[in-house]
Amino acid sequence: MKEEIVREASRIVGWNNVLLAPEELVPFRYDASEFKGELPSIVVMPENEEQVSELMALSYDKEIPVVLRGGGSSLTGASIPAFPNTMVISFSNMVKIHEVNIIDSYVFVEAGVRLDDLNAYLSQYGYMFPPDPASSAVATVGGCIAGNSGGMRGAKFGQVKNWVLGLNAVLPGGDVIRIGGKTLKIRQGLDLVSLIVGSEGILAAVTSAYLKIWPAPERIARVLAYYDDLSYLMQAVTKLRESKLVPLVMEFLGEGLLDAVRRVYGDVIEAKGRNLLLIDIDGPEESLRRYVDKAIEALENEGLILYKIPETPEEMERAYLARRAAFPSSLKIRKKPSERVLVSDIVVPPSKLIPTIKEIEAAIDRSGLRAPIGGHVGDGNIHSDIFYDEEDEDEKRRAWKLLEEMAEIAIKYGGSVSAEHGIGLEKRELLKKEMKSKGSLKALEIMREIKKIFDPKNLLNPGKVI
Amino acid sequence: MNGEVLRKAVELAGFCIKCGFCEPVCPTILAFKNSPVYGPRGRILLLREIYRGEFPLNERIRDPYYSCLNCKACYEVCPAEVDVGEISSEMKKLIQLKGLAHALSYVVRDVFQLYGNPLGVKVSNNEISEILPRRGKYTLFTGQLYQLMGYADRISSILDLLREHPSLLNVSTRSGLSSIFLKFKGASHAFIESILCISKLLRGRDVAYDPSADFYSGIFLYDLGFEEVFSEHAKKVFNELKERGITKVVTIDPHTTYALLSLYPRYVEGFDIDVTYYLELLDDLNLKVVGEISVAYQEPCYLVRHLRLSDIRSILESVKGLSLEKVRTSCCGGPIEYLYPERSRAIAKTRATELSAGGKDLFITACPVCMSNFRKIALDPLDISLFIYRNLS
Ligand SMILES: Cc1cc2nc3c(=O)[nH]c(=O)nc-3n(C[C@H](O)[C@H](O)[C@H](O)COP(=O)(O)OP(=O)(O)OC[C@H]3O[C@@H](n4cnc5c(N)ncnc54)[C@H](O)[C@@H]3O)c2cc1C
Repeated sequence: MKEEIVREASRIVGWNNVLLAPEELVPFRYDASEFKGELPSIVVMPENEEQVSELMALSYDKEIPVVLRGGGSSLTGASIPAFPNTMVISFSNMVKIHEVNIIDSYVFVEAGVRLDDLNAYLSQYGYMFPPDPASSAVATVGGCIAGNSGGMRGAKFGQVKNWVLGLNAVLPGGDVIRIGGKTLKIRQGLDLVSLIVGSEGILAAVTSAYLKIWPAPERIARVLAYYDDLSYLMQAVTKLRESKLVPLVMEFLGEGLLDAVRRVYGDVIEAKGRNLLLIDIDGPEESLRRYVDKAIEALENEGLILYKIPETPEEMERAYLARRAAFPSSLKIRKKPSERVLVSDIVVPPSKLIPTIKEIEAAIDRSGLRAPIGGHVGDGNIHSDIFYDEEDEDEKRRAWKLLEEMAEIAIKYGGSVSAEHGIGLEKRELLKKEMKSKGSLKALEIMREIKKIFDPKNLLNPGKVI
Repeated sequence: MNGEVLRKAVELAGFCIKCGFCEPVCPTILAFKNSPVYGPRGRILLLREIYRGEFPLNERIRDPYYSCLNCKACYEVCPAEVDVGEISSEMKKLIQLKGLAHALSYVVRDVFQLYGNPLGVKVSNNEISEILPRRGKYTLFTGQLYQLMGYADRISSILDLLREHPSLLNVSTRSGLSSIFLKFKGASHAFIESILCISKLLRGRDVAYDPSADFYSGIFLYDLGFEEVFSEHAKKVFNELKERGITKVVTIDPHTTYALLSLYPRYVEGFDIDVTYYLELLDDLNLKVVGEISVAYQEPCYLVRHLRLSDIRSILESVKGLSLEKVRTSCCGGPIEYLYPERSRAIAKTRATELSAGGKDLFITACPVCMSNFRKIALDPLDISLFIYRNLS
């Protein structure tokens, strides 16, 4: 990168907020996906919106590609440079929580705040920001907005898009836009907030956001139900949805994941049962018992092996942690370090879970690969961790094929190739496939045109999504 | 040899999936201007590039690994149970083997080889001998860390000088330099007081002291990656203890305890000395404070994370009238004080804020390294032994 650009970037953010040494740039080639990006030329860590704006102007002026980076926990290669000579803008210095307003139900935060920190802060007020990706320890507000993340509480509260009231964002070229607001309702012409949410850092850099907050559940009851046969578990999910109960959390862990988790959390995870359905029901003390009874009624079918209701806060916490750690724990059962994992992230209407799961299991069998499944089943989202040895070309090919087959199954049942992890580098072709199957390639064209309006020089996270 | 060490490090990192859960808890990232290569995930990513030959094995790789505190904060949150402290230790060995380490670390090694401890000071233990008998079931093994950390304040100034004038660290002048260290006399009183207090607490508990059998453990040499020097020293210490018929030792600080409990068995064949941390012998304490006091407690990472030993927190919590906030364990930054003093102090400051150390009636720790590092930022923690001794009912 030209010295002049480095000097200018450093002037903007200060030398202390610039990383240039080759060893310091290395981590920015990677995120939590299996992709390896190009080595960026410079990483800058602005402290405020003005600096972001100046950096975006500099990038525009000198035609330097930019990648925006939060916690770097993307599973699809969304936060790594696809091209050389990139400037990474990291939000690690923009971590202020500006304001909490209980009456108006919002918190105003900078983009680099991590979700766990945000929720720890809100808990002092008895409030929470409901979307809770399993990566909340590391994931940032900016990354989750750009990823329209979901999580375990998605069963009740949906994705981030339901919780963003307003955004401040910087466009390529440096213009700042303030869209949406701090009100619970707003009509502002075309809804640009929704456009930025989920845009995976290809349209604008979010600098701060007004996020809607919600009272933390008064009481939670957690039920762990075990089934050998997956279709009985899915039957229970269907029953639960019919029962008009809206559990806070409805998660399932299939065989491979449950085994992995059992190794670490054997104290709270039963030895019996191949698959686990974990549900959280929240409500006021007085009604909780009734809700739990209703849930158990729905869970009970001939496939139910047993159910457990953890009693102490410690047990409850351990059971929750067990679910959160499912994906990483499954990695411990890899046969060798060269084994890699592709994470499938499909979604179908919950009523189609039973046939979907059947077809997925068959596809996994055909592939001859290990691909344990689990997911946020309350909203029809199924993940599968597809293992392959990166040194074995044939396995690698089969893994990608399986990912594609799962996506096809989702499309077939009226679902989508990605529920929450996004498209990134990984699912561009699958997205095309989905739109094509819907006879809606035009929508992709519109997306590309929109991208051009925001970013005429294609400098912001180029090579991703569309 | 290089290949072997690298392979071992890569194997240790094997199951890392780069999720980044470790980054928010790592004290060094923040102190190194939020640069992730100074954190667990970055250290692994760099290692993997080195292993694949994509990043050259040159001195640029030194600081990311030497800055690791080996505090295990990352290990505690890692869903794949990857221990980056161990990985950094392996990498330090490699960096030493390649001769890429800090010039200052070679001074430490030279001084150590000349004088038996990394500061070259003469440690006097006569006062302990006056408190404890010569014979007993256990033998006190101070490992000299409290004594040595007592000099740390004074030695900082000369280290600063060396950092400003690296030419002083040329190989030819190193041994001459070593003698400068010898000029330091008189350890800070706080540290001596702790040892004396510990000795008094151990009086009447069948613990003996033999000054000729009290050696520096070599832990700092291990931390600097001088594996062979450490291993030789560990063998020597073991033999000396054996020759004196010592079979059970009592240690008093987390780092020495770690060296003896976790490292010596790895490096000394047949190591069969029974090692007990002194607070484990004091399980019948009845403590009382006057009125109400608020306490900040810096829990030593080596004690709770590496050794899972002695729950001092619960000792404190059980004292009536004492209030102690629950703050997660985090390192004081002390282990890198020698090589990265400014960063180490930045970590201490962050930690002091987390603990609200300045705003409490008492600030307690149980580790001479923590004590020394907090003193550098104008705090004055009280060693747990003094607290116990003063409040025994
Ligand atoms: C173990 C694990 C579990 C996970 N579980 C879930 C889950 O349950 N649900 C879920 O939805 N996801 C999950 N993820 C995926 C990922 O963590 C989330 O998508 C998360 O939201 C990413 O946040 P981040 O801050 O790490 O973003 P990054 O990875 O840094 O970036 C993600 C995208 O956002 C863009 N971006 C970052 N900051 C900004 C900004 N300020 N403005 C504009 N664009 C920006 C980036 O350019 C990139 O395109 C998981 C990941 C892991 C590793």
